Amino acid sequence: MAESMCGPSNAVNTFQKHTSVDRTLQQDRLINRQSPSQGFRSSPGPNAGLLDPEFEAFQAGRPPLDSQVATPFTYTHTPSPFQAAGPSWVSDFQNLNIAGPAAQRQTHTPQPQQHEALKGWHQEFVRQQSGMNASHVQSPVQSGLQSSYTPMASGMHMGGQYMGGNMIGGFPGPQVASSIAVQKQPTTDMFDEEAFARAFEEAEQAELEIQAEPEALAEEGTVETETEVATETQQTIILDDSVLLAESAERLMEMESNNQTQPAIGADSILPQNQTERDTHNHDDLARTAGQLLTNVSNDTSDKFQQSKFLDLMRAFRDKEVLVDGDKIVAKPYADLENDAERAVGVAKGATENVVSA
Amino acid sequence: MLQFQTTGFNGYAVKYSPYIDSRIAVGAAQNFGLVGNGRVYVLELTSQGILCPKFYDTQDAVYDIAWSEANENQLLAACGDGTVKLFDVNVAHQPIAQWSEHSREVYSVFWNQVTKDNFVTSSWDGTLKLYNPERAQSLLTLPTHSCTYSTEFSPHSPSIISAVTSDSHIRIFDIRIPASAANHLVHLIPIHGPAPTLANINTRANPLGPRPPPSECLTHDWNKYRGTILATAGVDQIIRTFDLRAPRAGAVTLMSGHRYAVRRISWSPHNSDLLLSGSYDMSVKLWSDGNAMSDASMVTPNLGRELGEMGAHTEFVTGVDWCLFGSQGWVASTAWDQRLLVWDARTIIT
Repeated sequence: MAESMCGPSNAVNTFQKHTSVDRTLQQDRLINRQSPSQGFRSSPGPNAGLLDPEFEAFQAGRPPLDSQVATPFTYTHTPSPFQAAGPSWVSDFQNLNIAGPAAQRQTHTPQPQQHEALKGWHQEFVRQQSGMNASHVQSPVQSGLQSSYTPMASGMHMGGQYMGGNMIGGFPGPQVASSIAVQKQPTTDMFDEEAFARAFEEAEQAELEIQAEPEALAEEGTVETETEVATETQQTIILDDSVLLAESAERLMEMESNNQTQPAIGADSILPQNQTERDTHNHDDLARTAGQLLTNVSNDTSDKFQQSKFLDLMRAFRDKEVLVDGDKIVAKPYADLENDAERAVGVAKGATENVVSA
Repeated sequence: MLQFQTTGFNGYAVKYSPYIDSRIAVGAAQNFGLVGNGRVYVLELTSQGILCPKFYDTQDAVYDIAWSEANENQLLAACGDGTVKLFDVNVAHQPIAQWSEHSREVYSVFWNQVTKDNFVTSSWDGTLKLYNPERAQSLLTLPTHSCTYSTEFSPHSPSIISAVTSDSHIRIFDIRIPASAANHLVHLIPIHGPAPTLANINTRANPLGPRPPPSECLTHDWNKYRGTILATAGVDQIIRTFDLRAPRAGAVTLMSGHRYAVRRISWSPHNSDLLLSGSYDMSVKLWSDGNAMSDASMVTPNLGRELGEMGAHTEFVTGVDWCLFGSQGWVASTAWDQRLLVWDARTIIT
């Protein structure tokens, strides 16, 4: 059905090209990564041991142990309370152990963890790949920052605010969950399913909050606001494949039809019932349906319709002369007739009693 | 006109064998398919009339049947209990394979006519399922989210599956494209017409009056000669043809004449413009959609022409099929009057 995809290019076509790559296995690959040490970004960098005290200080909201190092590194591009530390914060930042000389210039990039290696992540990657992994791991303690190296993760933490609120799926989930919780823990399997589920719940929760109160989240905390601004500058990177998939499918559907707004008709309007409901309502429903059907064909006076056995059966259903019992159609059970008779007798008796008492 | 009595069972579907010119199958159900058992008849057309060498009883109603395209002795039955059963004519009584994956009534089954190695079913549970007859589980589930009365493979492609649903839409799936959030869906065509907009409200003049409301679509069929044309019909009594080259253009042809819902349509295997339809008005009608005529109007939708009507059935007509063999024009029809009729469509052209 490529016909409809010919012709002038448009945004949806581009989206469809994105979606025509099967990425369904990507999540599996992440899950299969058992130990963080196998992932090239998950092991602590060469200066992990130096990072920890600084990070703790940052967490505690006070200047790092080394008084020379004043400012948390995250807030290089927007005003923040921490900047009150003084105009020399830039040099302070440069003195930070986490920042190699090369990374200091990249102040526009909000994720400091991307600079934690002396000469950038790609070099670190190359080093690790070339079998020097063990010598670089100085501490088994994993920095919480490292676990959120993907820009997506901080976005998820914001509850998908910038994503139109519809992004739930995708692999960054566990990273979100771990970005806070795992900060001080020894390395564990952070891609476990619980983390996934938790992240999904968090994302959903956040989405709901956003829908209810869009501005509330912005006030939640300075840290998160900073992160949000930061992530906005990187939206092109942020657009994860799963977001693309979901969005393109959504647009395709919206474009194709107004199907969603159309009320259910015919068989779709018949909801599945459980057995007890079916038993109790079946006779009445059948009688009503049969009655409607007969009304619909009541104008037809042709011989065929007058003599139709099916329509005869429908009349019998309508008048409840026959009933569906299990998988058979049966004449109205005798028990009912007897009950009717008893009731008639009772009524008659009552009437006579009334007459007598009167 | 030949006749066979399916005593006690009301017909739901009839199919000529694609291999043997004298073999024909009927799917039927007790009590008009409301409750009770089903039965698959395997019939032989002989000089002594229509004989029934084999039949298979099923627990629930049989709503559709399909001959295997790969084995001349095998056929499928779509059952009311959600099962699909594969019968072999050489094996008595029991199906040789069964799939119980649909959660509600299976309304149609269709064998792939190109690769001949798989088949597709559709159900009230709002899904299509693709099966390989040699595998115990289905290969693929395609959601429609609506009661799906009819599904077919394109006769021109082994991977294009069409379905029409209770929500008045045609869905075209192409299982070659990778699975994505769209689940292989490539077209979603509103049968009752696109929503009116300022742009099309005046230009899209409908010769049959204002835009009809959505109505349940019960049946559809691919044209055997024009690979992009398919016809649909259903509760609103109008048979429409659509051209998939222009899925948003609306119906190409409208054929109006049935007085009640149309239950089954089938394009001729011999002529590109002939279409047979069976309806709840108890008639079978033969149509031409006019594409073979030189004066076919450039304005769409144009109106097809009713060529004739066969009125011998005395209850709702539920199954029609064309014979692939012999002199062109032989058809079979089945109805709730418990009769299979085999007749020559040329005799009803007026």
